[in-house]
Amino acid sequence: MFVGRMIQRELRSSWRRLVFFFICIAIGVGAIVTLRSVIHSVRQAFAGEARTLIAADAVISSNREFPAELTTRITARLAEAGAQSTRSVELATMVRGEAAESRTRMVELKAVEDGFPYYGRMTLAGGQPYDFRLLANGGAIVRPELEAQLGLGVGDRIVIGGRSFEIRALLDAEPGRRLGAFSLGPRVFVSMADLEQTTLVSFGSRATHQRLVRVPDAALDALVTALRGDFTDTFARIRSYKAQEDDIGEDFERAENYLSLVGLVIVILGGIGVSSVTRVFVQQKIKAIAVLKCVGARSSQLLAIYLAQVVVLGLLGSLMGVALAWVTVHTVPGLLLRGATPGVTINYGLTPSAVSQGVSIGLAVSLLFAVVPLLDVRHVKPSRLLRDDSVREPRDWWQLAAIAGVAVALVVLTIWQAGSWRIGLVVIVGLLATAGTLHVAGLVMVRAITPLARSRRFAVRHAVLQLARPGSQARIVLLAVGLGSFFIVGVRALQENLLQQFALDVSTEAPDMFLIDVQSDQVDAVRGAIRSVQDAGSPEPRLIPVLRARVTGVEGRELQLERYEDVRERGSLAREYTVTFRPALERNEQVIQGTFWSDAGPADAEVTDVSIEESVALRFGIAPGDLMRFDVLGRPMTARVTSVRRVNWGDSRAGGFMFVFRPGVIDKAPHGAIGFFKGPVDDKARARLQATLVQLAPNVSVIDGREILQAVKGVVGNVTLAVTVVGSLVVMSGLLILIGAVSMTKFRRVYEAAIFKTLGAGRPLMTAVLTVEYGLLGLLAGTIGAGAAVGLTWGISRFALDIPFRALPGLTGGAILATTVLVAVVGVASSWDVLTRKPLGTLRGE
Amino acid sequence: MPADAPGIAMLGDSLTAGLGLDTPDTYPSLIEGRLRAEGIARGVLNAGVSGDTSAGGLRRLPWVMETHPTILLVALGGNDALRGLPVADLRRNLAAIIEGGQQGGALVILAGMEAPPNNGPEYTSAFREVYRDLAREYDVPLIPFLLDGVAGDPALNQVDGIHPNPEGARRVADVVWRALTPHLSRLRSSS
Amino acid sequence: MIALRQVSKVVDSGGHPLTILHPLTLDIAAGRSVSIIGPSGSGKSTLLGLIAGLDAPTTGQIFIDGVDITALSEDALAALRGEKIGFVFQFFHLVPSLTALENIQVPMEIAGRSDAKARAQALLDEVGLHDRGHHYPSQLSGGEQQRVAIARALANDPPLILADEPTGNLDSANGRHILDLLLEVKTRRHVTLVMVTHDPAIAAITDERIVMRDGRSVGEGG
Repeated sequence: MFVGRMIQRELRSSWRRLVFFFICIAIGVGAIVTLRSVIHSVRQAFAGEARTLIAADAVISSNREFPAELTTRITARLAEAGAQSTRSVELATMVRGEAAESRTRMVELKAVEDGFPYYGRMTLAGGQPYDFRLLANGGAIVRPELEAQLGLGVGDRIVIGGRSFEIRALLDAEPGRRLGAFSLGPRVFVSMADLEQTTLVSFGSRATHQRLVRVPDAALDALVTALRGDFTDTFARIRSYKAQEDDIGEDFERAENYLSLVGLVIVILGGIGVSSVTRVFVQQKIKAIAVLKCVGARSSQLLAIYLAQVVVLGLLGSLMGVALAWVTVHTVPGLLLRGATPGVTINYGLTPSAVSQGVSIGLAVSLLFAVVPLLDVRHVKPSRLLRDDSVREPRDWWQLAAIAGVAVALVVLTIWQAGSWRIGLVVIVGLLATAGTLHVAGLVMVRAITPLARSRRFAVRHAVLQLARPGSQARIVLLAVGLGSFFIVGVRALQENLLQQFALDVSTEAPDMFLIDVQSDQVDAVRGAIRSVQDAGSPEPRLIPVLRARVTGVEGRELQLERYEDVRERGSLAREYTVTFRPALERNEQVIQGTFWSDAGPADAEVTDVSIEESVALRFGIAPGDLMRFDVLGRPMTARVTSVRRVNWGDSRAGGFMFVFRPGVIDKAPHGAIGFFKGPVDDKARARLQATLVQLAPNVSVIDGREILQAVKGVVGNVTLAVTVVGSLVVMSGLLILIGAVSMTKFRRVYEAAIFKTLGAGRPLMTAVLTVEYGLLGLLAGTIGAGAAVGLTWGISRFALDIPFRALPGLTGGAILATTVLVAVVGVASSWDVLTRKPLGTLRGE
Repeated sequence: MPADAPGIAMLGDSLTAGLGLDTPDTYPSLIEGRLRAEGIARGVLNAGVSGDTSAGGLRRLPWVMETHPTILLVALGGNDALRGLPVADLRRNLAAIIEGGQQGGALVILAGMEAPPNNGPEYTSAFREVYRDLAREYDVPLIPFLLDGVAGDPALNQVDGIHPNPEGARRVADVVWRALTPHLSRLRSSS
Repeated sequence: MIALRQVSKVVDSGGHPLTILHPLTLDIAAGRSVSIIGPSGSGKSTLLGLIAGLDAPTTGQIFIDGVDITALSEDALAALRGEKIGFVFQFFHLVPSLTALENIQVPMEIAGRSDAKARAQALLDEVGLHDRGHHYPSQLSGGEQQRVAIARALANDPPLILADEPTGNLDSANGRHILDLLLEVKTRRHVTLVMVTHDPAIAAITDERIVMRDGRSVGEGG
């Protein structure tokens, strides 16, 4: 009864003091719940779309016609499982308008039956609803590109496989088509019955035969297993939507665990804040505790009272975190993530598992970080009511055991959140190493500034004395704030580095149309055609000469390969390489050995020059000066290696080649070109360009990468948003830690300030002392944290992400400055009452 | 004519280059082996480039003709069909290749290809006609279908269903050899 | 009521043992009022802390109502204090987060009494603060706070009241009122009162006096 009542009464008064506790937990939990929920939502959407992606529960497919006995077998199996099925065939074929003079185009034909699709829906231009009757009896639904290329529209007739079809609608999107799949031409839908009246499917046809299956979920796995057994010796395959889901699931799980780990780090930062607050709280409560002990309360009762408060506050904080997450999830993604995932509708919302995980972590962290300082309750002696003996008991076994227990629990928590032993341990070890480094660095730096204590200035002298005296809170503040700024700078720097990398790939100037198989005599005409339709300000289209070559021999200092058979033994050195030639380096290349030529070489040289890529040099031991023999389209050619290049493969704007030849000799060999350029924004202009190019150079294939690029941009946008949100959360947690740490030192300061004041120090002087003290502390903490973060970023960029490291001096310097100012401001501000309070009250112990 | 001029140059695509096969298993290598067995010590130049169309082959012709082959085997068109490129272009390109080969002093042998039925009857028959017409027009020996007896047989093709496996390549070599036999004397006389 | 047998206290002071209470034997009979008087540092507060079981003696035994409290565990001591001893401190030491009424309720709740609230109100009436029950300590004057503290000390009807300079933080008028209240309570309830003070005038009004100097009892002062 006593315990229960006291919890109630204490909460009534202490919540104000513990509101900060509450916020620490709320932010951490909010971060975890938000991150997990968003990922859950996206994942659920994609998993729901897994059926849409294949338009069925399962798809049986074969690149041959199903033999009769197999068809019987399949039909029996489907009947057994209570499944429905519908057939479809995909093949590439030629289409032309009905008029004799019409152009002919290759299209990707898909023939379906009534019933297609089981999941997802066909979207037609102009919002027209799809109905199988549009296809029945000689109907066709075509993509708008075909309309543009053949100059035909709805109502016109086209010839496919010798049969006439009427274009009845234009297709926007279809279920079951993979985004960005290489396509030979625009999509055309016809009915299965009509296709069967043509000879398109016969011996030697290249077609994919499918059976889309709809089956009750309970029977799905058994059906898939049974059919898979039946298919062992055939070309037929079966794939259920679950396999699709698993592929998607794995990626998301990784992302979820990674982001949650960041969330956990935020909670742990919050936990450090909790620990500071609790320590201060217990210090403030010491007298009350002594009184309660004096009137008969047992230590265990008091511990129960305060632990229960922590649990209640932890729970409230967690719930507040959930509320925060709810607000975030319902506002931010809706505003910013829309359209990032074409074809998939995502309903963002909190998921029960994210909420329960968040709340349990919030509770666990509240308890874990509060329990050690709370154990001090046991050491409060009621005798201190008579005498002011603040003798601190040495840590007892209970407390040591508690610390060990807390550490183990944190490790378990981290491993749980990371979803892997390895990553969990790496994070913990990393965290400990960082804390250890920060601690040692703190000690060293405090020692380094100690000579300032001889300063003539009162403020500086006393500020330094405060920091350097034994038992000062400087080390704990350094650790906490240092850790905070470490995380913030680390996350921000990684973010900058990562996003910079992405920005290269998806900048608005990035090429989004690609050409293959341009013949050398077509290059100029193709370039002209592109230029004439490109939007103003678009970069010049790039057409890079390419040709195929094989290495047939090497005469080097290390490597001697006489014959082609010797080369073959070197594995991939014998493969057919695509090579190019040019007079200068590209932007994404740098020479790391030898020198690159600056002009074309003589056309009659017996030995030409070649530059090799770094990995060729490393793997095969080839170095500048070595001679290499190539078979270029059936003719031998000898080249001397004159340089080794490093290629930044992440920057694909200029392509990447293992072998680059000096112009002069090799350019006499027949070569084609590949091209990439930024196509016009307008869809019609793009279609027109395709049509023009086809007419101009029919052998050229145009690949439009805009869909893929837009998807990538969407993903990058989401990553940017996620990282920014996480980064801001980390900044907030860091601030909380700072406030917590400063408040930890405050009670001592109040007393000391009172003494100084009675000794004649005025408020300006006291403010100066505090400003210098906290400013110094901030400077040290910022330097340590930012320094460690730069190290971390370098390590991760270099070894984990394999992206070039950029030092970001602006960010680092800014972070140190911000930490300094922030600590000084927070320190002085939270000590404001110290400065304004009348000293007598403080000294009397009121 | 240079001393190391090849007996036969084979201007083709992945079927000639031997995609997915070890070099000794490709049909040009097998032909070279059969020539040796016949006592003809003339090389076979494999001028096959994977993915190449008749347009690409035409651009590569001068480079190949610089080696002055005695016989030029033209085995192109498969990729034109797979990509649905216009038959008229195929005809123009192949005609130019045959003319170029003949002007370079080589005996041109034309290897025919078939477009798969899914391209549609108009395309496949027009495609087939190109080879027959050209053979007649330029009076060059014609192999009616390079993959005769091989195409569409799972036992003779790789899993992609397009490229012959080693056994399939031997059958292709048989087909090519049958077409070559009447002209072996040319290789003997000029060696 | 209280019996001390050869009780001493030695503390460690910068590595040297410092005797703050020399072996002392004394008896205080039930129902008496006793003041412990002496200058600052004479050991009088130490003596009070030992009697209250707030501190453990280095040697000797202390009996409260015949129970040797030096043999009790922390928790047993706490229970004994709750039941047998009421405290009044110089700085009041009310729990700031609790109202006056609640401060008085706490010891009874700890002891598990069910009539805590009603009794607390009665005690408030007894110390003359009938209508201040819902005020927090910070809203009360020093004298009022000390009255609440006295009411709290009486909560569980303890036979013994220990007071540490109960008037030391009050002006003389308020001090006088508190002293009167303490003596009145003592008489009415027949409790034993032990009070630490440095003021001979205050000491004079108790039945007995123990005079401390340099950690020794120097006899009955006067």
